[in-house]
Amino acid sequence: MTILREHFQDLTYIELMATGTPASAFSAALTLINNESSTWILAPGLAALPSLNPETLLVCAPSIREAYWATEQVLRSGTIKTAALVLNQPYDLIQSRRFKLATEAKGASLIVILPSSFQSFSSAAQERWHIAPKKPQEHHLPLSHWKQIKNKKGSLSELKVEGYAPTLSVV
Amino acid sequence: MRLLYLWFNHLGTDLASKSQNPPPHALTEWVKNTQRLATLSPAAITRGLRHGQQLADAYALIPGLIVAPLDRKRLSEDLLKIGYFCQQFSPLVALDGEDSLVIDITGIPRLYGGEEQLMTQVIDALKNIGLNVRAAIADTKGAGWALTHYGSENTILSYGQGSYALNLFPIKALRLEEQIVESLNRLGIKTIYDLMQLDRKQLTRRYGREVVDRLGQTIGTHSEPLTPLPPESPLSAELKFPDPLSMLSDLILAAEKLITQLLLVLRNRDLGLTELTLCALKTDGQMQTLNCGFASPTRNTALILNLLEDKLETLHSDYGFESLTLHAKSVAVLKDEQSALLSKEELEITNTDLLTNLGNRLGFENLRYLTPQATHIPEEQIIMRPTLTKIETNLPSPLGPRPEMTLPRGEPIEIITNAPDGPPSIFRWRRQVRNVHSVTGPERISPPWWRMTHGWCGQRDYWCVQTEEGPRLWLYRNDEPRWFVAGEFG
Repeated sequence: MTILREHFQDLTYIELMATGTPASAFSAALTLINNESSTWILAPGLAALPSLNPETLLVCAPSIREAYWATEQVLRSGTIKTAALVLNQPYDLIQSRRFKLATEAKGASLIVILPSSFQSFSSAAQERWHIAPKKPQEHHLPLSHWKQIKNKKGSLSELKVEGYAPTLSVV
Repeated sequence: MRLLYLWFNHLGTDLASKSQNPPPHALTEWVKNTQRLATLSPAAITRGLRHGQQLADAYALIPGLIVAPLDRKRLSEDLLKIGYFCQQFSPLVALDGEDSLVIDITGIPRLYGGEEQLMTQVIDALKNIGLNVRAAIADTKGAGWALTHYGSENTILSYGQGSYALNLFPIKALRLEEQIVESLNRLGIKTIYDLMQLDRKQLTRRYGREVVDRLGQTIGTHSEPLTPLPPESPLSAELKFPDPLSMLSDLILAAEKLITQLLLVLRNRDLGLTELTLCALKTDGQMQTLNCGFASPTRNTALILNLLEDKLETLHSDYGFESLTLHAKSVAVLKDEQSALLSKEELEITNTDLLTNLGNRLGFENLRYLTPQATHIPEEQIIMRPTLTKIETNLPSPLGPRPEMTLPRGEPIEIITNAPDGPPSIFRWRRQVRNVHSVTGPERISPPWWRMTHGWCGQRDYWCVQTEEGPRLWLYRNDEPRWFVAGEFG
């Protein structure tokens, strides 16, 4: 069993999709961010809140364009290590490329959380994962199945992830 | 007229030493080639020092005495600042001498519950900023001076009592010259009462008008004007152009000049900008305004200019602008600090710049922190604070598990198969059928009896439900009983 975070150490731009509600993706993002300085940007129209600690800045963008702009600002600020952008619709390749350049500008990371209904669209993200919660096995710990649906640097893989955020681990 | 007289009897040393229990402290000045004590702290007076004493003698009494030169110019500037501080109690505040203030409180005490309450509040406010003060309320400035210098501490003289309440005060209390006081004392005239028995014409003939005037000003028969503090210079800067400006680059240059001017004024007053307005006057007489806000008080020229640059592009210049005015709409105290050596503070400052950038475009109400609250109601345990002031909270963690994702309000579920004494074994939520695999609970939560909360009636039982399909949900049952989903675990 290994810590989930170790699998994603070199990633700077990742997309997470969860079946149903984004709860599993929230949990995954909380694990990947761990205790680093982070900012969460929420697109308008979202009806659920992630469970964040009081130190984390939450930006409730009034429009989707402002959400994109805020994400770029955060990534380029140099003071925030990770930005988590929660969207309820897919974004285009140009915007995705802008995010990629913004992550490279100051070495920040970006996690984009998307609904699972939009699986096939082009973006500049390094990896895209689909997360589906599963019935727990013998340990009775919450279990989820991670399926990689995009990888720019290798073959696609699958993971079985167990535990509670922010200490999820790969079985 | 009712006046509150404030005498800062240790002004110099109070301003020099800010600690709670300062050591003996004195300020000195040169008098005829000798260094003498000009201002003493209460601790120094208690140890036997007195005003006018030679410094060498003072060192003999207290070897560890802390001494600094008296800077009268700085002292008068500080007294002026204290005067502006006291304008929160009355708009009419006047300086009196080098160490006193007179506040016209006519008609004001009723706002504070009486003269005594007002005086206590003023004294407390001044003590909070580290100033020792003796206060008195009287009808005249002269009576106030006499009471603070020769009366008991913090006295209130009732209206019209000046003529006889001060009878037993020494004639020194009339603010007379030392020579006149000595001369009168030699004649056996020791108190104000003694002086009042004398014929005024004879007194004037012998000592000039001063004695009679001072006596009249103290007991209220002669008027004595108050010179109120001049209004503080406005926190704004203006540039008028010989020819109208319309190019963006010119406007940016003008804005930079204005920012520099305004920040200079703010720096002198230890203030930082939290909100500013730029007014641009067009040649046709129309005014366009731009507003900027800051996450915390700032005097960072580059940051302010960066914000204004973005907004200047939105101005419609048409035939150009005749003038630009920059107003500090809202300011806050900002002391100069050496932050370059403090990496953590540097980081905070940069974070503040990010917040300022985000807040100016998205609105500060859209930048939020999730703040835990001391309540057991799940919907109220975390609130979104639409403000940038964080509250440090060390609240105990909730007894039961809490989901990674919470819904703003419970979503009802449709029960397909019920189970006795527990959550349903099969139910439908968001048009999907869920089969229950295992449950944990219940955690019983009751609303506060003294108020209705989120339409609660009675207690709720919360269950952590693992479904066969995978999602782990947080369900609750109310009193009716009906079932709802409150959130989902990740």
